Amino acid sequence: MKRMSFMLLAVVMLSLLLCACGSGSGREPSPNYAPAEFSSIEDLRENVEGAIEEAASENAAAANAAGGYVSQNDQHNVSELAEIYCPAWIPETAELEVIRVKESYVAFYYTVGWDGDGYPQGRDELTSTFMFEWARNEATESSFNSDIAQLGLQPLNGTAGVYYCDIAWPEDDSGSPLGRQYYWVEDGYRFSMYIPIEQEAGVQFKVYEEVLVSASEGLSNQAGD
Amino acid sequence: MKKQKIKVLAIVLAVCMLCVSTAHASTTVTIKVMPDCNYQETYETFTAETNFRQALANAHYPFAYKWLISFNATFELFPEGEAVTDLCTLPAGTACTTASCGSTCSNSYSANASNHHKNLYNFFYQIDDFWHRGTKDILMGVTSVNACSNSGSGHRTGILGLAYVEGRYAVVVNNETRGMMLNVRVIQHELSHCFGCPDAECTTGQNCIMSGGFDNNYNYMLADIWCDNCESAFDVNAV
Repeated sequence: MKRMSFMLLAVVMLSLLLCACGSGSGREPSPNYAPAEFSSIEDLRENVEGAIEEAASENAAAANAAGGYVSQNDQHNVSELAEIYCPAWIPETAELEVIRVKESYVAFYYTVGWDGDGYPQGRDELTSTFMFEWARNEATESSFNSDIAQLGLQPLNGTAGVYYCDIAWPEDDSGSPLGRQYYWVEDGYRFSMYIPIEQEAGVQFKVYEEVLVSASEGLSNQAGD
Repeated sequence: MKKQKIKVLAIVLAVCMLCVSTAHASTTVTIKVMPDCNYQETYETFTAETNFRQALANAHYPFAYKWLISFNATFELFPEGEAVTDLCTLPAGTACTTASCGSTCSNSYSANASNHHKNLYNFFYQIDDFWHRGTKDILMGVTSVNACSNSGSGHRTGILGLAYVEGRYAVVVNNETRGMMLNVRVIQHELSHCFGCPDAECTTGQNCIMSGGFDNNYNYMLADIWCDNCESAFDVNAV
């Protein structure tokens, strides 16, 4: 009898354990947040100004603490973008589609030579988009070496410090690359650029700093009511 | 006595060898993909399935190269009127606020309650509680709405996916207006959760799919999209 009870208890415990593992009940699922998106540098500038004002406002802080609206600007530290790095070179026909911002990056996406509907999808994305990324966390020699190994990068002949990886569309039998993604470190930050093969003429790995909010503006906003 | 010891030793050795061989054996993970009504309305069913299959195929490379995991996906549509995550008149791509949609954002799901229309937790809990993966390893819900959530710190928009760590259910936002690359990274992120990878525990200075490190990387055929910490947490047998 005692043995039967023990067996029954064991079966019940095991069932409970299996149920908990199977459904994940009693746990919170992990959320994955999208980058904040801006249509232009001007749009980004306005949002940075707004985010700085919001961060300085005691009312906003109180509202957030009480469970109010948490904007994507808050999530991705947009208020800290008083200055951003921009591409000094883009392909001739490139048109800016979106600027994406996360805590860890600012990325500019362009369409290039694209006359189809909507944003290029799949294989077209590799032939008809240009991308420039500034990784916001400072790069070290060790972190860049880690990138080179993890991403399988090759040194670019004739341009010291620039590394690249050829990008092919997985389903193309030929395996011919449709574009190249380049990586380099400048001013202590890692930059990346994706260029379709056909748009590579005259490529330059140069960046410039765009001031979105001047120091005095930032300070006056932060000191505001 | 000596014979018995040898027998035990042989059994232990055999078990060890079996463990080693299964650790390196290839695994097929079956995924039931269920697009919600909004996704079906936004993209015609055939196009939606074709595009999502392509995104899933591109998402699978690192899992195959590094962990010898292949995905086998089947599609099943929700019955009409079920799994409605967006009943509001605002366009699907609109980031809602409490003021613009007039309803309270609630993460919990109840079949009869009038819930905040774009809340992704709602969709996730609905799938977790009411839809069964059956014999499949993972059930993945797909929507195209600009989803939001109401976590402890407040109402947030722009949520792209949800999954339990080492769970069998996931939801992803697959919005084709922003290109396939980001959609692929979202799928990889959520499936990595299913295999045990957590958020916010990434190795400093390394790229990782769990911290957006591949959002702007065009190479679908990478073998390694996990940092050291997440690689250690990855459990091939979790699913």
